[in-house]
Amino acid sequence: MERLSGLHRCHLQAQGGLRNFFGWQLPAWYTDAFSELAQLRSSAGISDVSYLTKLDLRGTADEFPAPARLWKLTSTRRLVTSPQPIAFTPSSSITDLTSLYSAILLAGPKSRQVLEKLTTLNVNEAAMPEGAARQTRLAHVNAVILRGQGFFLLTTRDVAEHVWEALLHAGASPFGLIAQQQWLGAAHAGA
Amino acid sequence: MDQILFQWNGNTVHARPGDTVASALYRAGVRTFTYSYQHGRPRGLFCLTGSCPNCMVTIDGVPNMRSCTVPARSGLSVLSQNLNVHRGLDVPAAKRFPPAPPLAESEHHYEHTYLHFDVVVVGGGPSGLKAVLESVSESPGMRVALLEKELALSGPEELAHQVHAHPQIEVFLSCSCFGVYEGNLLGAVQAGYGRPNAENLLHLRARRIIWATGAYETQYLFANNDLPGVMLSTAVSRMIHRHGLVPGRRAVLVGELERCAALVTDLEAAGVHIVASVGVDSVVSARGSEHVTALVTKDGTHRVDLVVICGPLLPDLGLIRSAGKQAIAVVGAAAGEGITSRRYPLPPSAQARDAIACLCMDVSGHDVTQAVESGITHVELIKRVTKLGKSTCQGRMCQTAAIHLCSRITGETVAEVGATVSRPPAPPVTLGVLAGMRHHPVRRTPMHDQHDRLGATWMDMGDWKRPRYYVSPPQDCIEQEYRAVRERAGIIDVSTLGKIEVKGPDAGRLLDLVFTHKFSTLPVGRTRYSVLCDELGTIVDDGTISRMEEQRYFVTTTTTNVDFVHQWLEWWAAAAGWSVTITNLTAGLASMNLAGPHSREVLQKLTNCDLSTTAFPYMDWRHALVADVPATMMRIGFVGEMGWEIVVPAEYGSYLWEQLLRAGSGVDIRPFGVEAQRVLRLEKKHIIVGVDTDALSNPYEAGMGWVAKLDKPDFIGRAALTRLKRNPLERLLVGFELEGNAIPADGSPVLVDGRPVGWATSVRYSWEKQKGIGMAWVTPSEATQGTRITLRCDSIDYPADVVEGVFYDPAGDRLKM
Repeated sequence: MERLSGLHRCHLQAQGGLRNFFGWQLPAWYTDAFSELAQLRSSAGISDVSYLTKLDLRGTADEFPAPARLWKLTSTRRLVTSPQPIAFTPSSSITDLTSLYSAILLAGPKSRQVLEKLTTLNVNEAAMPEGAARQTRLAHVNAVILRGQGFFLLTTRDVAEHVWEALLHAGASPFGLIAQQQWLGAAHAGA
Repeated sequence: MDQILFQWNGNTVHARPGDTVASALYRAGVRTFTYSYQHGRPRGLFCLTGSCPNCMVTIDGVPNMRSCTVPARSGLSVLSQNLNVHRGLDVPAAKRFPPAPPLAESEHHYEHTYLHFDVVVVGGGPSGLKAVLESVSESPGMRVALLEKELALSGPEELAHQVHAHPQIEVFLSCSCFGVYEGNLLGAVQAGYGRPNAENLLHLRARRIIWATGAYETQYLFANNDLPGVMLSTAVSRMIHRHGLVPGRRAVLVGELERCAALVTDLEAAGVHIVASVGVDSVVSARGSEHVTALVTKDGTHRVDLVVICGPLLPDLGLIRSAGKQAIAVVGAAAGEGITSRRYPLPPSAQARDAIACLCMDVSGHDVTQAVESGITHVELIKRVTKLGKSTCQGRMCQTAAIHLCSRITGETVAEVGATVSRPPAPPVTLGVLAGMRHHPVRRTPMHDQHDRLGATWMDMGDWKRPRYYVSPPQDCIEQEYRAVRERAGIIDVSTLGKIEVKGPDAGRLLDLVFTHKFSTLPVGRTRYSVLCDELGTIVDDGTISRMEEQRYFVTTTTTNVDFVHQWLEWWAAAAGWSVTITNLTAGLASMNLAGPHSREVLQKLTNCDLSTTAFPYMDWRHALVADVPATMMRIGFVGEMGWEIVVPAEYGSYLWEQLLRAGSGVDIRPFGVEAQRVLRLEKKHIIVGVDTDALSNPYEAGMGWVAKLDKPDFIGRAALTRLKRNPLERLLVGFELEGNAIPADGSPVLVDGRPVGWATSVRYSWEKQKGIGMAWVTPSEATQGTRITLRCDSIDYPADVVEGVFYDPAGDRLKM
């Protein structure tokens, strides 16, 4: 009983090599990890990171224990993301959005050019530095964009396929978990 | 090097690298490029800067392309326009727009890009380049964009090189700015972006805009001034310098001769014999039928094949005049720099019938004169009456002429005659590029692939895709799906229904206020159906609400109304200042409805939860593992059979659907689609908000007065509902049975004695009743058992009888088995 992401059909269509990743069925690669990584480092790539735990937090919290990361959406609304499940006590101020939001990592030197085709948001370095979180429209649907080691694009799961296709159309190419972990790991080490 | 070959009206034309379509055609000997829109007059190259309409052709199916701005490319299909008008086959007065030609063999690509810069400079001439380099040196980190409509920057090479090499400057070539909008937003279209037949619409936000668009040359009025061979000096100069073309053999120069002194040398160097140079004041007419053969002046006739108009220069300011009070800096020729003469002399024949003032719409000097003489003396009115300046060149070639002509006739000053307001888009843009990429969102449920595998026929519900039925032919399979639910077990994907979590200390209060029922007293573990009314008592939505915890509720809504209900709840919570957290969880949860007399034994195979009626009665919900998936089960029944709605995290939806079908294989379970569901619920007379109700329906009319709990202290719509309950009803939603098996369409009018009394909202064949059944709005006098009504559809009458009760299981025993 594996968890299927909102992009599962895209992975099947692209003949991704599916593997179990922390209970999620996700593609380790589409073509091969080396060329995906090379493409990602020279251009722009997209990868499924729907496995991220996503929590909606009401209030003015300033931090959350690592490895989770806290993003400020508004003065009273926070989003917490974590590569691993987070233990928390459900309450009226905390809501688990992991199943609701699909998440796509858009990364690479040309990722900004890809985003500029799909959103009116100013995604220039100065306007959206590392750590910035924005609520906007992306390919005509609502989205949350987080600037970490690349752009993390959160949209509701029902429109994830639509957003994935729009990103492909705008020039990004997909990469699997192996390249993704390399990228996130490398960016971690560099930070 | 590969040859460049393209098609011109069916003939092959060779082009050189660097050619535009226009220059290649001219080199191939083409002089008449196209025919004018209104009168079919022959037209040839005139400005060569994309300012006039005279070289507009159809390229790869896209009409009205200025051939002097399109780079020549192999495989293009180029056609001249309005040939039928020229031949007299199309009547200009009754001229229709021709049907859009098929968009050629080659595809077209349209994209949008949203960009943000510190400074945007429009125009890549000498002053534009200077402005860009100055801006970027103001502070480090400045991001500057330069838009140039031509294929290359045109300033001094040294500056152009610096601009191209600068890392903070982004240069957009072949990019025309077509509008300046509020908040320093510029619209621009970049052609040939990345691939052939592609256009990219740039939305540029700038802190500062610098306008360096330069000046353009305009024409003079004399008879036959639009003949091929009559050209502006810009065109002649570009032919010689850019394209290495010899513009003609014998030329006469007209107009501002001192400005064009250099051109004389250029023409002579190119081997053109200059016959004469004359002032505008003495020009009478150009002669020729397809091409100019002579220029007639007061002092004599010059036999020439080229008339060079050294016309007045006008600052290119059109768009920013409409930009309101925004801070736009204007530099260079656009600011009037280097423009010495503001004189616009009119020759004696300016009013002549054949002096064309407006090249786009063939408005003659005579037309303008007539309008002015009949009292229309403001240029805005002249524009509306004569169509002058209303078309593609947006008045560039005609407005100055018309103003001066009007001024000469009336004796008013040029300022009194006025100028027209420029409005974007100028230059014109294709509808394709405005539309951009096809980005219509499609919403899919977690079980989408499962339905595909089962052979679903899809239907659109808002942006959602839902299975209408599985496996054609439809009639058989809808009946099989229906029978499975009534006799055995069926399962339907209801993930598209809205699902909203409402939690917090004031959650119960909020639901009491917004819905017609009371929820603050609903016990944890129970579910209740309710409707949501607006202040007029109109039914806006319906759904079930379950109390999950003391301070947490789970609200379901109809598929298309979830965003409205979400906003409505947020709005009332904010207005009351209550502490609640409202989250639309629709896409995060998969839900499926398992229904039918055998549904209990199917579900029991997958869960340890006691499903017996004593342990789990109708309208209760339970949390439990179903096939090891954490699930919420709600015992509700839209289709009128014992059943459970099973809600799980979306990522498990596909798996659980498969498990339920497997567990039900022993009882021959069937997945069922929206069509079967519509029949099943119609037999129970369960309404669908928005199908059976409209924008005015209230619960009393809909036969659901029981939902309005008027004993509650207050809720939205209570005052209106109290009054509605007191007053006689104007109409009622009733059931009916048709006489035969033929089924009229939903929405058919309902007649009594030939008089319309309402309409049918839903009509379906009922396998329970073995005949057509439905619901209809009628006036109260018809709303009694057995009243004969008639449905009319496509001029056929369908007799029916009103039925007061429910068609299937009126006591609801089957829900509670």
